[in-house]
Amino acid sequence: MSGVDVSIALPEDETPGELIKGYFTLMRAFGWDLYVTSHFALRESLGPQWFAARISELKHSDPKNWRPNHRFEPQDPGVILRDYIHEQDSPYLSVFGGQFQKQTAAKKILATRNTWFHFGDDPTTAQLEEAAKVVRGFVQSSDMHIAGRIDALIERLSDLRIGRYPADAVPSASATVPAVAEPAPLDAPEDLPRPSIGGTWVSPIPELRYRLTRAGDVVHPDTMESVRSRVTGDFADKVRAWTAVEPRGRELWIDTDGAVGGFIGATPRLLGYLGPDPEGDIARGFFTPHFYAVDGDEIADVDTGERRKTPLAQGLADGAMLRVTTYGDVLLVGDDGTIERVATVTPAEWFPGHLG
Amino acid sequence: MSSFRIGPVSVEVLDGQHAIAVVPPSQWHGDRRERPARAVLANLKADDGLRAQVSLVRWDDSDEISLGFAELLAGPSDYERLEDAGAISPKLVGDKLVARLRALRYGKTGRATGATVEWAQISEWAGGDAQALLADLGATRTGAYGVLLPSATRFKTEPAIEVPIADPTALFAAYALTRVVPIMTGYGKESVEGPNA
Repeated sequence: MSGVDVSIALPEDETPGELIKGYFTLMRAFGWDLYVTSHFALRESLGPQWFAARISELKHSDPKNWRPNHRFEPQDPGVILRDYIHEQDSPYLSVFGGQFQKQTAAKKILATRNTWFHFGDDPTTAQLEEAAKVVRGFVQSSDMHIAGRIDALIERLSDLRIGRYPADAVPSASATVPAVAEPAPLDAPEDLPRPSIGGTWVSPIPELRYRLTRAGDVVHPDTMESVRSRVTGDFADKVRAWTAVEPRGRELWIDTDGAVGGFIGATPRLLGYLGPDPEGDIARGFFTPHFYAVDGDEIADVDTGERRKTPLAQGLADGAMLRVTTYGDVLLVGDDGTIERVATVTPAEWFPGHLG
Repeated sequence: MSSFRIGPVSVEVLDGQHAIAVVPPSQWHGDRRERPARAVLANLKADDGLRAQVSLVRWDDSDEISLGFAELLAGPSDYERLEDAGAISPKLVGDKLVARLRALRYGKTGRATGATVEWAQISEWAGGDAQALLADLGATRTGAYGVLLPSATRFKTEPAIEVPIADPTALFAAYALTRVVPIMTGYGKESVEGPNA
């Protein structure tokens, strides 16, 4: 077993930043819990790849609401809740039940997210407490895992509202930060499918660390043998894609299925595969820092004004916003935050220097 | 790939040339900019756990050539010294490389730096006649620097080696003997393996 991070940050005060911190981590933990709970319930009847299969079914049967080129992450609570609320054949009905109350709770959870991130009004402590209670009710009645963590959040919010936190308004030299026990991560089942490339590595991390050399090779740390012969396709392209964001210590691990991982900062991440990448991965790797806009038959870097003529600009609306990942996936960013892949480019086909 | 063992060090010289970007030694105190180069790579291994890759680098836009740039993959931390010391800088003479050989030696500061060395010492590290062993590995000549490079004005009596640029295997052997082994054996340290007190 290994874990996913389902810690919930407790706000220190009632400012919007502190409340959003609590909200963000609440929803992240809830998303993982929804996914892992569904996985335990569905993997036997539907197989371990049930999530990918379900998404592909939805894209096929209802491409208008489940756009084929969009990226749907299993741990995004919006994805599972939307399916649960709107699709009559949703597998989640068998996991969470179809009671009116539960469905209403799911709708409320989605609605809170939609209001806060349109910045009409500042979030309030009472709103977050209400949202936490709705999530708490859903979690409790579904035999999920994070109820205790949500209780801690609800208690903190109530303390903030009535002025019980912080306890000591007068700072004193002897004041100590209360020890907050770091909750253990949620145990993830070992057969949890791989995340998208760039996503958090959730399965156990192999101990053996391969090394990226200055000459662009990836070698076994003891035999110093190159992994070149195990790679499908162009080796230099693969290594560039895996390491466009340099893994810490220039160290990589390789799992038995050929998945390649490494630490980016403190987070273990899936960086790619020895073999071909899964077809459903539409935004592989990490976003580069550049933003582009479509202008006629050209694409312009919106910061530098640098322009490039490219066939892919045709067929895209003027002004459409594009981003590109370290893998060269070119993504159309919708106003609603959705992303859609419109092309995959090589460094030579793109703005010089932007793809390393 | 050619593999051999010299003294306590196993060396594998990898086939072909590899694109690489490194700062040439002439710019270590200059602009310190990495420049594109081609490199012949060799893996060095020893029983003490050493796993390092060293490169014989030739920069695209100059005659500068240097052997070193150790990338330490594993092993005792005193080998980290190889990452910033001990480069060999051969001279290109026709289709040959001529290098003067010094050895890393620990000094009073506790740091190993390049110091003059005799063939007898190098042979001791090699466990046999070093010049004969280097010749077996493809060195075209070994001997005094002043003989191998008549234009040399200094250090004429110091040991030197000449190898074909097309097959620099013996130069990696010289690196193993005069860089790796001195660190492994604590060459120059006053008391390397004292008795238990």
